[in-house]
Amino acid sequence: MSKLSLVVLSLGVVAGCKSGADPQVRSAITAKLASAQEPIQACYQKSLTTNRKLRGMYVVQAAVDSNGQFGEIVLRRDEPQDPVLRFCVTQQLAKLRLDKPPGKRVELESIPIKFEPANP
Amino acid sequence: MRHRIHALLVAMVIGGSGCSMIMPAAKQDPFPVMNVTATRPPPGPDKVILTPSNIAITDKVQFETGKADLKEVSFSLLDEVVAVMKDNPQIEVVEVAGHTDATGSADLNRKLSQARAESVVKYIASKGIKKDRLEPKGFGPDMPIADNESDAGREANRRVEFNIIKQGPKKTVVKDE
Repeated sequence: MSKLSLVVLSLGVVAGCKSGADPQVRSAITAKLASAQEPIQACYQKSLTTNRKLRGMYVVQAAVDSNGQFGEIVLRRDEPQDPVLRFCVTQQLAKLRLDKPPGKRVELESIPIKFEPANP
Repeated sequence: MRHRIHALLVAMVIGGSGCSMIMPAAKQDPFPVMNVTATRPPPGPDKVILTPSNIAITDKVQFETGKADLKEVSFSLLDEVVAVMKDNPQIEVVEVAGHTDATGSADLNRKLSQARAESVVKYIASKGIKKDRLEPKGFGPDMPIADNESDAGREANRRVEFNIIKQGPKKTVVKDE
């Protein structure tokens, strides 16, 4: 294999190995997720009135499409096991949209959300 | 020369397809944990909790299957709602909202939920709450709070809610001795 071929191979592999969202997109996603904390807290507050033992962890998998819209929301882990809380949180996440479209689809493998009562 | 072009093409194909051919996919870092806390209501026998936006019930108002007739088992729950409304005259108007799951005709469900909401209003009014403080509304399957794919979700969606839609300043109730 010629030197030129090796250079092309290396550049291609480096480009191909660059995985995940770029840091700017990731930080925009992180900020957008943080903005959902308040409505998700309202979901939890409401669900606590009917089940005061409700607590536990969600691990959410989702995707952001090229326009910045969140979707494909799946709970990979669902400890609270409450259909009302699940539906409410899913709806809140599905409302999110990045202010600046990322231009390509971004998969979000793991968004952990921990629910815990503030009082005993 | 031909060998060189051939090698170049192979390099471009392998390189362009990225590391998936030669390395496992990189694992994405999880996003920071979102810690969600909320205050839970105090423990106790109360089936009815007054919140700023609604009179939350921890039990369900039950009806005869497919009908608007209240089951007797729900009378004590509704009596507690009556007590909350009597103790809180600042609650001026409560929307009594009937909801169903998505099983069957949406139109029929809307009519059934309206009739059920009216039954609840009739019962509460019979216990001394003025009818103009109560607004029955049947939403049918239009406002789900859970998915309709599971039994638990459908069960959660079949519900009656007491939403405070008009509220004045807090008033003190003076009870007769």
